[in-house]
Amino acid sequence: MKKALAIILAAIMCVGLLAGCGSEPAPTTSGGDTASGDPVELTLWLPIYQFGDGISDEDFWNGKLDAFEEANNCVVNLEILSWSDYATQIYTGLLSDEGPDVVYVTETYDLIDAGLLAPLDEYLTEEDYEKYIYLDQGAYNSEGQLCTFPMMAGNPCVIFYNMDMLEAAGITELPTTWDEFMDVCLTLKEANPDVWPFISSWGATNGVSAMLAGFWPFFFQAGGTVLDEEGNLNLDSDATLEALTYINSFKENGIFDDSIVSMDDPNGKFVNGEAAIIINGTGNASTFTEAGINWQCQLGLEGPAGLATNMSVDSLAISSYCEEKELAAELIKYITSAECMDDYHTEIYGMPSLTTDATYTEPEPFQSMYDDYADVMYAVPSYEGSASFADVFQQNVQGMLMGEMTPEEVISESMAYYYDQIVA
Amino acid sequence: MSPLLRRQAGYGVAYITPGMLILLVFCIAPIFMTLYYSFTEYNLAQPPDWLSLENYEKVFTNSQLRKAVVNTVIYVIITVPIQTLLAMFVANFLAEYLNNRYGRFLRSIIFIPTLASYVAAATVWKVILASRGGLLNEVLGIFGIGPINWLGEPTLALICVSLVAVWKSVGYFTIIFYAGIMNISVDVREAALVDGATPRQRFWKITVPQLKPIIYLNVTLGIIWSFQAFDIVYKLTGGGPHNGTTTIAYIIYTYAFQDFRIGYASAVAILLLLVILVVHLIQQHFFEGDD
Repeated sequence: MKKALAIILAAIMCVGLLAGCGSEPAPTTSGGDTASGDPVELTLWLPIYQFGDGISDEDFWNGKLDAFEEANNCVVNLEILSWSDYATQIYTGLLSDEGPDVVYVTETYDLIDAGLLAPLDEYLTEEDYEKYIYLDQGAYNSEGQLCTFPMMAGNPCVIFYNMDMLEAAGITELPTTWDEFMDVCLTLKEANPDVWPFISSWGATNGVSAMLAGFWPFFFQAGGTVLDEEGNLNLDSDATLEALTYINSFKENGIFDDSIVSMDDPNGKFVNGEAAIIINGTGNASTFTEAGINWQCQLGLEGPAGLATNMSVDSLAISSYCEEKELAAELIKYITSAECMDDYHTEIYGMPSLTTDATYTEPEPFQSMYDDYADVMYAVPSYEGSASFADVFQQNVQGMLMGEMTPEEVISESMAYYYDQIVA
Repeated sequence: MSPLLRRQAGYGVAYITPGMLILLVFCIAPIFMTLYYSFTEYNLAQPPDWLSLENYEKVFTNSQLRKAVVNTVIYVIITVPIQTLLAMFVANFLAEYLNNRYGRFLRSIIFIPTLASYVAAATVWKVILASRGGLLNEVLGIFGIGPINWLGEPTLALICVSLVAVWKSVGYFTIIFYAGIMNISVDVREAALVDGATPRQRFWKITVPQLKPIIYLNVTLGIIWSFQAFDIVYKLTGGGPHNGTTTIAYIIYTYAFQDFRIGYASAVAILLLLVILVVHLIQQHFFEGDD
């Protein structure tokens, strides 16, 4: 009896296993009127942006999406994702064919290259191009078709100063050039050797984060362009050399100490009063205010090529397998409309308005920056192998800051990796 | 074959089939799939493109990977002996001298790091090892020792990462050793006591030889897991500084799940598999030779 029972159980396990491996995915109702007249379903993936105590992303969007669902006789299944390994979550989600119909994307090269995103051009009208301010900042496929629709464009990396520390050091005016900035750092160091005059996250756990505020602002101030006309990485340039040489001078002048290569939390140091200056996205300003920091900020410095900094452009996209692309495009337009984004920017996360009819304005001094300096805020485009290249670049910069490499070697070693290991 | 034997054989096949299927689908097949992908360009979304040996040519010219191989070997050399010996000594101490409720409490305490997630462990150790204001440097400062840049110097960072990994896993191996020691025949241990063996003699002449299968198990697991070191590196140092703590598994993760170059990552994974196999064969030879 026991043996028979064991065999039956074993057989059930085998059948279950084989059934699990071999079963076809259930037909989805996503994208398309169902024969029974049930509402069409769209799946929407967005990342979490509510980092404070206010209304949650989920509650906010569910409230907003009710009107869209009613007007279009559809159901939008919302999923709010964490930022942990976000790009990987999105990529693998889109691979399954049962992931999102509409998705918020950050790194776009791999998604477009793999054909996972649908072109949007046919769903956009001339009115849309006039209305949506950042539409030209979207990502294009190799055929020149727009594949992403900017949703969060802004958050430029600006320089935050702890004014109490600057005033204690006798500094009354913010620096404007690279040389003046270095002088301010040296003055701060002399006045208070126990704090970092200026700090960067060269010890971040990934290169993309390290380069964001540590390299790109200086690179653009030196006149660099990330990609050449063929779309290849263009860091083998004088601008890169100038930026790296300037970054290295912080180490040579004792502004960066040995621990800079393991520093991954400059924000925390700035909030705790352990650092006087940091470069970071404008979105961090509220954290500094809440921490009681008496801060001022400026867009950036005037490098050899003038004033510049980097900004982020994250977008919405439609999956290539979505069967209701037109409805999905309408959903994107609804999400990015003034009706939604004015409240979103007020209640969830502040960013520049996306449309000409929006009423939200960023708090000062940031709105003035967007009004006056939009032409010197550059988005870093996505490129092939960007994650591992950034890791290699970061490790080489660490070598430079440890005195083991020159700026020229950082460029040659990093670009050799790019050509030999990524695009070869 | 008699009907009885045939029936018994049938039962045997029926019993092992589910397990074999699971093993085949989730362990054996992926190895062969990885081997195939390692000869292709593959991004998970489009069909693989056959490249022949191109990925392997790139693997052998990848200086970052060479550094990662060296780091991984050093990491294994540091972690496996320390965690094995430490776990064995602690387990022996618990079994010999603290086989009571205090010992049970201590066993639980030792096991806590094993239960903690790598993210939590790395976060805690990052605070402890911070060069400015870190707990360890504060304590050393009391004794007049200046701040040490624990994670900012490649060699020191690799040692720190290895020791954190030992701290994380020693509890697990201690429990296995403890179970092994408690399984040693009481007669043998009592005979040694009656014969007047000292604690040291009992440990080296009775406990260690009796524990040989457990040592083999723990060393094997330790080597395999250490070669796969990823989480602690990812969260504690990000592979830095200057590639000082980059490991093979960390590189595989970056290539596969950040760049989505599955073919290339598969070639590196096959290399890691071969390295583990070779080390395992050497280890097996060592243990068999000792017999």
